[in-house]
Amino acid sequence: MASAETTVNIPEWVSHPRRPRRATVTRLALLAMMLVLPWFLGGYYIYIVSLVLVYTLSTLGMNVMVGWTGQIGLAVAGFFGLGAYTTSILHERGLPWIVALLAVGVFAAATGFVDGYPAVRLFGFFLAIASLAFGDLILRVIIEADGLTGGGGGYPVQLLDFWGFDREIALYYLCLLAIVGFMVLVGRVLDGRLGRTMRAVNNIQIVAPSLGIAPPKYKLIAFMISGSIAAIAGAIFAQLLTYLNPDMFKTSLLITMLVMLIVGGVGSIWGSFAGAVFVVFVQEWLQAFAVYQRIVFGISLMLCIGLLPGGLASLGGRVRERTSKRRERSTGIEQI
Amino acid sequence: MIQQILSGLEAGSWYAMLAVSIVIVMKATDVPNFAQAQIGMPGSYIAVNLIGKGWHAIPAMLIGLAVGYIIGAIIERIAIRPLSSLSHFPMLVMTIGLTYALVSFVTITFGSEPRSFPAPWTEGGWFFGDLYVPYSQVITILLGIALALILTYFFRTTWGVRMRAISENPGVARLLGINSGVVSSLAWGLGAAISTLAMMLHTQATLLADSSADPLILKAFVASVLGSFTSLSGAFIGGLAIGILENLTGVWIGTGWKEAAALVVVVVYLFVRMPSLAKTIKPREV
Amino acid sequence: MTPHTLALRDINVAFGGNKVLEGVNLTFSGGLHGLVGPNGAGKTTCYNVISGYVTPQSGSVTLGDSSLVGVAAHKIGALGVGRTFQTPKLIPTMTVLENVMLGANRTYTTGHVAEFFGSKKFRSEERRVRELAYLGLQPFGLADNARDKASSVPLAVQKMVEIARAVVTDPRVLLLDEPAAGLGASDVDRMVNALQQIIKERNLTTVIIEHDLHLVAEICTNLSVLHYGRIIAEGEPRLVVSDDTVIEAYLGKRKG
Repeated sequence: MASAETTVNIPEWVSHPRRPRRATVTRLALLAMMLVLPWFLGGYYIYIVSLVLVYTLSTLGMNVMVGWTGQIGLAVAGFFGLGAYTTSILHERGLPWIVALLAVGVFAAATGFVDGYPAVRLFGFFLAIASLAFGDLILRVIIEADGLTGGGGGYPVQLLDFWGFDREIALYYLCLLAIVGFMVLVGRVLDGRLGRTMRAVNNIQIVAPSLGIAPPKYKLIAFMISGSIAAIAGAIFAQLLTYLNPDMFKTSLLITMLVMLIVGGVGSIWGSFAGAVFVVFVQEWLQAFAVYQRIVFGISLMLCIGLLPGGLASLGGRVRERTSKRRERSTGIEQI
Repeated sequence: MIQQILSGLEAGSWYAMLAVSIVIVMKATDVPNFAQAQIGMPGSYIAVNLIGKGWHAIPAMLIGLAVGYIIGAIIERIAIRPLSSLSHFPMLVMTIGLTYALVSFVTITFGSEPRSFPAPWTEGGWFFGDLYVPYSQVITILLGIALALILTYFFRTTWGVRMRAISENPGVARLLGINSGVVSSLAWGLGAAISTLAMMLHTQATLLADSSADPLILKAFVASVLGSFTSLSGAFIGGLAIGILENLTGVWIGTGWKEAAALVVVVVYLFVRMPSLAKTIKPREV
Repeated sequence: MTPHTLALRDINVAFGGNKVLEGVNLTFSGGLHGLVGPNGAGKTTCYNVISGYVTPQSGSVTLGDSSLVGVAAHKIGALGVGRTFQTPKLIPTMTVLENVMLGANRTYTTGHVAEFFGSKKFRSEERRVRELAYLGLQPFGLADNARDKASSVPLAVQKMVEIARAVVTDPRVLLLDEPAAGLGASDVDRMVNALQQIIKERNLTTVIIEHDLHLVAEICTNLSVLHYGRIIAEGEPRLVVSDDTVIEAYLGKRKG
């Protein structure tokens, strides 16, 4: 507390932090571009962009787990599939899709709790193996419950009715809404107390208890949030693909998601987008040659780990560092 | 029932061998190698090719093992040693990338059609009343045991002791003049050779295709976990146990759940055993 | 404000067969207490026992009326035991101000759910915390560094930021672990002045582990000397520093 004799002037930027104007303008411009995209791109390309957005969302979920609380949780493909199947099944049984979506979000959070509660005391690759196995188990259950899910035979998704609007375009706006919404939410949380706390759990775990922070609690929260986000992404994915098959959610999907995470940049919100763009681009470009896709993914993983640990997102940071005059100062809010 | 147990021991031997190679690499270089099964592919393919050209199985397999060793050493030199300062997660991801690279390499070089791996013991077996014991099962199990014995002996030799020293206490070991580079090379080469053996035996019982390695790696990791990633005998026995458990699950509960057996095992095991596990692994900051 | 009392009674800690602390009795109440002793004497272990990172084999730790033994570490932090560590632990990608704000974690009255919905109450709390953190940097003269990235500031600043963070937790007791280690004289002065100002304003019970006997003798009201896990001397700094057993502990037995 300041003593009574000297009053300290608290600068405005402390009391009322403002996001830098440049960043806001860039973002709005990008948003505007995305909004008018359907006027310029044909149906197939809109589908591709929607796919990128869905993957961005799932990678965002992975980032909450891996990037911000530093846990190697690899169950994301399982949660993705959980969301896809469960939402579609509930929707088929008459539940309005949005309600099904919310229900699945909650259910995934609960599943994340079950996965996370024991897992938060694990670390390193023990956690990786356990979560990998957990994700795989989810998939197993989906396959075995073939009365509900059609098992290996596949599951045709009941399509959403967009009141007569063009399906591809309507779905695109849905994806855009979801991803923008989550980016804003996650960004806001990251800037604030929860984000700081999670980063404390990640970076200075030893110190955290002395600040009254219990790492297991926040790790568990990360599990739940991450699972929820992945499941919601999966639900939208189902609508996009219109047909589900357990093979879609195998380990190969997990590896693809890892590529998105690592190449995009762990811990970066925009990195999630960059990574998704990269993967979808490679998949489209090398569509006919699964083998070449794998080589590219394999090599890019290895290169990123070896040479570019921050992924594509860190390139932006490096450019910014060189062009900005005030190098070491940020404006009080993290540039995302 | 005995039939199932024997099949289980066969599959378990593959898992056990892979698990052992995972632990060797882990102990010597502190890298969890997700590509440990894939690393055995090139050698297997070369062996099959040689047999196709008329070679007898055993020399072909030995060449395959040699190829495996070399590949392991090469990978260690190019991809692992330069990154030795990284923590477990980046290395795990790196080896996941390696998986893809290896599988792609194999597919491009050898094509993706599955082929069979003929060896003198792949056809035929003994009959004991109702019991049919294929030769391949016996060979596999015997080779597994032989490997366990050889390794036990190896770790008493100079190089084996050096490898153990490095894994127990790298700093002191280096001070004593133990060349960690040579040990790393040796560990990766050895691990790759063992993996090649495991893959060859596995594909002899099934088929050799570029996807052959995929189902094995997770189970091998589970077995390594059962050995806390540090105990070779734990990993070996764990592998056998998983093989048996898998087969029994397949019979008693249903073939679909067979694959899940290993998953359930690891999930339950880790969740229950975690507090004490935390002390056995030297923590690198994740 | 009446100062809080932190008391250790008969603490015994052994790691394996190794006795690290034996029958340690310490009472800290108001002012600046020094905990000194040669390397390996067990000073940091004392802190670890207090903050709940280590459980003693026997003995009790009380803060005011509350017993701390067996309580989870994060609850002890939440109860008001503030602490720094030998090497400063800041989050490198966050700014200095944000790092200090982390300390205010236990002072929030709103929960994370309120934060999620962006409620007005939460926003005013955030503002309060930002201002508090900024003010917390003042005594150390670090207000100008508030927007610097924690990875870019020198060691001395990092150490002071750590202290500021611990102070912002509004603790009942503050434990400092070698805050002056590795610091040049002028930085030490700055830190000490800031500390003394803070202690005076809040009447904060503070304990400081240090190697530099002279420094500690100058600034502390009370000194406890730990040697091989036992308290061998206690009391006024001037007397303790000239005590024979203490000198022997630091310099080894004298010949003859």
